[in-house]
Amino acid sequence: MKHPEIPSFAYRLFKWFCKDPLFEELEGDLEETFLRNKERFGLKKARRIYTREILKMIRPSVLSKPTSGPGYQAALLGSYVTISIRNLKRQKLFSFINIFSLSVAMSAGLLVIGMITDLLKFDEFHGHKHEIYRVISSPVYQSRTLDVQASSPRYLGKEMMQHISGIHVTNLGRRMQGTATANEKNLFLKGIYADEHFFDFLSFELTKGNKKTALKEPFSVLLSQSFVDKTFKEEDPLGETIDIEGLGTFIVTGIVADPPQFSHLQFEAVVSISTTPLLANQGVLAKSHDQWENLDRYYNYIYIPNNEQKANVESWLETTAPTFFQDQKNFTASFELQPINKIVPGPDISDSIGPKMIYLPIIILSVIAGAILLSAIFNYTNLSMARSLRRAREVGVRKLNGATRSSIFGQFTVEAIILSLFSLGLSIVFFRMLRNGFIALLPRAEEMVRLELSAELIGLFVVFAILAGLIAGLSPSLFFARLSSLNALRSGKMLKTLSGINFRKGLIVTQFALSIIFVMAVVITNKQYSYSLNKDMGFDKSNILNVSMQGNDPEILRAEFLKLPAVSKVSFSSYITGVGTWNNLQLVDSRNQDTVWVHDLFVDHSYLDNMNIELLAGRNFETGENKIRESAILVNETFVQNFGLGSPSEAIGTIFKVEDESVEIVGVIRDIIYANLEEHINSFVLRNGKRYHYANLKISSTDVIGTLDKVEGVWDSVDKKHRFEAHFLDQQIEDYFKFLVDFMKIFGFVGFLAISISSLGLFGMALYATQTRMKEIGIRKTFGASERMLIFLLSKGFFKMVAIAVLIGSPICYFLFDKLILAQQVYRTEITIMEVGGSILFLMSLCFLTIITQTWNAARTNPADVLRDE
Amino acid sequence: MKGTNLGEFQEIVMLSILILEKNAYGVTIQDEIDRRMKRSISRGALHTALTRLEEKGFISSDYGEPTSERGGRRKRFYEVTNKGLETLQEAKELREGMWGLIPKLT
Repeated sequence: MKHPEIPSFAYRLFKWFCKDPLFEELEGDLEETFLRNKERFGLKKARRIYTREILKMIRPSVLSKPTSGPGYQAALLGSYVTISIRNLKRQKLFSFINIFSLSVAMSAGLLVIGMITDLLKFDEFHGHKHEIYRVISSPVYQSRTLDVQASSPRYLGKEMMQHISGIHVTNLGRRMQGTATANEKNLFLKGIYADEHFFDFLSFELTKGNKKTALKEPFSVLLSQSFVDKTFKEEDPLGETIDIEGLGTFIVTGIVADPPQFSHLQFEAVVSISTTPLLANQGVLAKSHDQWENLDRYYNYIYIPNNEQKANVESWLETTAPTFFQDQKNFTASFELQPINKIVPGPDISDSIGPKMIYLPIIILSVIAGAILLSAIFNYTNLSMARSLRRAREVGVRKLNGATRSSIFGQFTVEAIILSLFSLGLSIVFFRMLRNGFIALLPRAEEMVRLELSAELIGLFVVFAILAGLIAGLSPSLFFARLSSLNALRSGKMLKTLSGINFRKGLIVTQFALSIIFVMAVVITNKQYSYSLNKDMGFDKSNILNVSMQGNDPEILRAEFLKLPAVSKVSFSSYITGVGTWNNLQLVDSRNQDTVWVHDLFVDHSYLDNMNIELLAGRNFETGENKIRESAILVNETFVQNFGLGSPSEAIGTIFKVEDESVEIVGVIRDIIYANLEEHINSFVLRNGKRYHYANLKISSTDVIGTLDKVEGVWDSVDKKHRFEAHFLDQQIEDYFKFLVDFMKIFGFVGFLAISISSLGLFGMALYATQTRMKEIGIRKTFGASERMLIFLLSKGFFKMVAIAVLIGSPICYFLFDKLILAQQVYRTEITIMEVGGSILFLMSLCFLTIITQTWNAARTNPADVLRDE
Repeated sequence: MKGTNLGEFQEIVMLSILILEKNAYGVTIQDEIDRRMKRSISRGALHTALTRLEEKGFISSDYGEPTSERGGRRKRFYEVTNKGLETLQEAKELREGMWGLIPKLT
């Protein structure tokens, strides 16, 4: 004990910094000197000397070694790792369950991380990426704001340059495509239009040609390296000409390097935008293509050096730009700047120039992946706690041997991280397996996302795994670190002190609620899918082969195709029905001169018969009747109703004006679902005589492949230039509903994860519960409880939890589908008790199996075995 | 090796221990040095020297019985080992030899 006259601060300081084994000797000596000094010099001076002596004690040989420092930590970590691996090996089942569930969950996380890192790379290659913007427009039609468009008026940039100095603009256009003939080869070519400022600030590389002039003259084209490789190969294409079907002959003025993978602008060729006025003169483009009112097709990219003029540009766009619209009351637009690297991923904007990826699916996927991962992490926590019975003794012994809280904490944290790193190894295998499927799930993702394993990505994964391990290990580590060794060694008692039972029950309930949601989602989506495929759309879907006409004469094609015995009928249409396409038509009602928008489809006279569409009144088109002048149309029932024409037969003979021609309704057809199941049937007009794009072949043979080959042979004899393109209608409709299959795949995958993870969680809980109640079971058994009663007793609690989960989850899922997801479809299936009940039964029986494995064993144990020690 | 040579202060400490015989512990060694060298050294400095000497194997130490005079804390007594004695001898001989070589001042 300290002498009362010794300065206590100095004493405490010394006690704190001095090495424990030295303290007794040194403090003893100092106290002896202090007492002597007190007699010799008096108390005050003695105290001063004592304090000085203590301060002089601060030297390496006296200071206690801190329990930290790099060397010490490394040694400690090494021992943690060894012990962790031994523990993982000893409990193979537990480790396997944990590693498996964690790696499955992690693979979902890895896919999302990979996707996000890929998307974040978009348009990062532009040198001035922070100073380049695209002008986007929000058109307002009769004070109704329409969808935001990525495009803007053709000459917006030009006008802006005249008002604001020190900015650069390049004007681009889309839909430059067609079959190109280059060096006697025919290839489909897809590209963009651009003006001569294209290379001024966008970081695309012109490998051959003059940057300033290559895109100046009309009918100039820059070819991408890959297109040159396919056509001109080693030859120099500069100065050569290529034909692009429907556009004209172009002179090659340069070669441009292929755009980087992570660019929202993708092209095989760049055509000078000065070509477009000439194309409009030729009738290829609408005359109004460059009017301010025409907002599609053209894009303005602005480079504002150092962003100095940004405020000016924005205020010009806000105040001056809308004044260029001729009739501002009727049609105007507001404009905004969109930074170039915020285009992909970006907000949902229509009329985009390249591939787009909106935020919503990314957010949804991230949330799902996060939820799965959290679930797996909680499971780890849960199972670790459940096994605490066994581990507690180990911790108790360690603590008795002097382990500190922090070293126990470190041990369990390292264990979780090691497990998580093992899982990472396995999940990278899963990642590679699932990669392509995942990309296929997202619309157009194959153009944007590569998910290639780079060193950078793997580094990110490792950080992710360590983080996951840290989170997973946190709760068990804290629990074991806090455990007192006394409680730890009195095994039976300490388990009662386990806290957070309600929390863990809550977790199980949440997990099962999610599981039931996903199970039901799969079942309901499946029902909607089969409903969609089997829905009577009003026309015959089977045995129709749609052949893309690619500009060939219909009568020649018909004559040639009909020569094949397998083809029984041939008709023509402007688009394919039932796969989400429709066309708008402006119609003038001749009774009151009102302009009305309806939908139309061009078909020939054999279409109705071929597609088995019922004619309710009037007659079909006659051969050649609309060839020279359009005079007859067919309409659907909805048309007759919407225009108040009375009964179908009364509607016959009504006159409308279409494209300045007077046309008469000659027949009324039954309503068909021409667009898709999401849209209501609108007023629909069948027109005749021109604009056919598809030949519809009725195939009467059962030999699908042989017939396809023969049809292709006929095609090749008629058209030597274009590739044969044909699809079966029922296949096309099935493909159209593929998104539902994709939904099922996502829900199924996530559901599988959720179920397996929550079942493992339940398994852990059951294991824990039965192990802690072994003595109770033994006593009950001795007093005559039957095995069945015991199983019931032990399982009851878990079923209650699952039942609560079902009660929470199924209404959520029902509401989600009934009111939100299926509500988007006009033609939809109904959710019945079959789907709800079936899903619940499935999940319940799975839980039953999980629980029974534990309770069955517990109920069958011999009471003597468990009660022997009492 | 940190080396087995003897610093001047360490030599003094060892000699003090030898002088004190059985009663060589922190406080007495400190007093002895104070008295002989007319120089006040801190207990900390002495501790460092003792630790070094013990590391080199020149001295050894042992705790005594607890006494009431210093709050029940035991004293730690030091003793010069044979190795320490040898080293001291060598140092002494080296010096004497060198002294003997100095030409007598006439």
